[in-house]
Amino acid sequence: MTETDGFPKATIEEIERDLLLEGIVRRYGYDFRQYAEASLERRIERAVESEDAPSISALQDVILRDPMAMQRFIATLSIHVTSMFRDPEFYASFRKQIVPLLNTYPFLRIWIAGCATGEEVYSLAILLEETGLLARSRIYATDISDEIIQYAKDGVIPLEKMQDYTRNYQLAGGTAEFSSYYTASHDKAMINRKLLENVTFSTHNLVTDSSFGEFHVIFCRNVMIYFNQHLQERVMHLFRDSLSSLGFLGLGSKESIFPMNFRDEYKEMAEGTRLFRART
Amino acid sequence: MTVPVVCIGGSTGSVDILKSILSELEPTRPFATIMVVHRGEQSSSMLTEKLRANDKRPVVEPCDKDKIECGGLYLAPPGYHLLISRHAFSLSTEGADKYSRPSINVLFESAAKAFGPKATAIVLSGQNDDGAKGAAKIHACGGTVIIQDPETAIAPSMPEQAKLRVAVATIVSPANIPLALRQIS
Repeated sequence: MTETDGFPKATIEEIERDLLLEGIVRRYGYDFRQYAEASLERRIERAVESEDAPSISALQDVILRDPMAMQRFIATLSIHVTSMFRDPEFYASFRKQIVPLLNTYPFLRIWIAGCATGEEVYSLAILLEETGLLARSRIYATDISDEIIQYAKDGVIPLEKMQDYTRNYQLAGGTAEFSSYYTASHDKAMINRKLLENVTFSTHNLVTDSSFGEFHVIFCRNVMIYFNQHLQERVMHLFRDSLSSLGFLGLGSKESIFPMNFRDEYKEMAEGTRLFRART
Repeated sequence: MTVPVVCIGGSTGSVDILKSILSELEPTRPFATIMVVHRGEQSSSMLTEKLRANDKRPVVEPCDKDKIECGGLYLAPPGYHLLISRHAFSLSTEGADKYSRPSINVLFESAAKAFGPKATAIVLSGQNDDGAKGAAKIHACGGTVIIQDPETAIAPSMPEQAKLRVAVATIVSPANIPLALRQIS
């Protein structure tokens, strides 16, 4: 194999990955070709192992012919282990700086893009409940994976984990007994159904789907880390189109900001919070 | 131009060693230094402050998609896995691997795939076997593996496990790690 710049030319695995992703977009319409390379590689490897395939090509064979295998693959690509009130400072800042502004709105439309297993949705619902905003809010929680949306909809978290989240909740500025928001049953905690009354869960693909409305607040936290720069820019444009005037955007604590004119379009509510307000 | 990477992983007993390695790094070093220390999800910036190098080059917790710079000093932020591709950092929120997020294996494995012979892995003191699998991958892809002599380690199991997986690794005392790094070009 000849080398350029001290690195080998495309390996077989690289070729197989490209062919797999091409096959998937042509067969199913899901486009993962602009996902971030390093994490995508890792997840494809995981899918190869879990399907017991001898190679990525063999995985492609299974996926192209079996729609259930495709669903499993989507779920593998969507693995995202999070917690309630992850980065409590984010929620504390939201509560302190943004809630007072939202208070002046008669109704609120909120989009949680990439809600995964639901922790962020439940956290926000609790925060809005405590600040008197939940009744006037409509929350739209979306994710690419139908399996994960069903899970989020159920509102069930392992009890042990839920108890760990108490500290996060407190650091985020929570004012009640955290345990008042869920019912414990055996080893499970069930989020109070009332908290989710104003939440609509549905599938949505940030890569291929267009805007589905205007929102006062959009959260997309630790989702675009899985997209390459081009795709991230595209999604940022989608959010710009989906934000109402002077709307708010919330990102993950270690995410980068693209496109380059982001600073012209948004101002950060406080340095490092990753909470932004559109300038117009 | 891609820059060679030196990936260092450790847990209990590794921070002081890291500090001393950083203080001896030459300003003209032709590589990027990327560190993973096991830390809780809510870990503060104290660790970053503690590791600040003497030449006033700050130790940075990279953001997703930040470029990997020659001479850069990077520390994996808490609550994420840190991966690398040829030019940039990439974050992930998959589950904790070997008890920690950030995981040493995750960094090493991505380095092995993207950098092959231009990757060096260093395994320091620590209490579990994170890093062993990753070090084996670095070796398999043509990179160099340096392991802290377990006899010098406060917590020997991490370097021991790595040694078991990579029999040909260079075993050094902490004081000799900077010398080993000077071989990198």
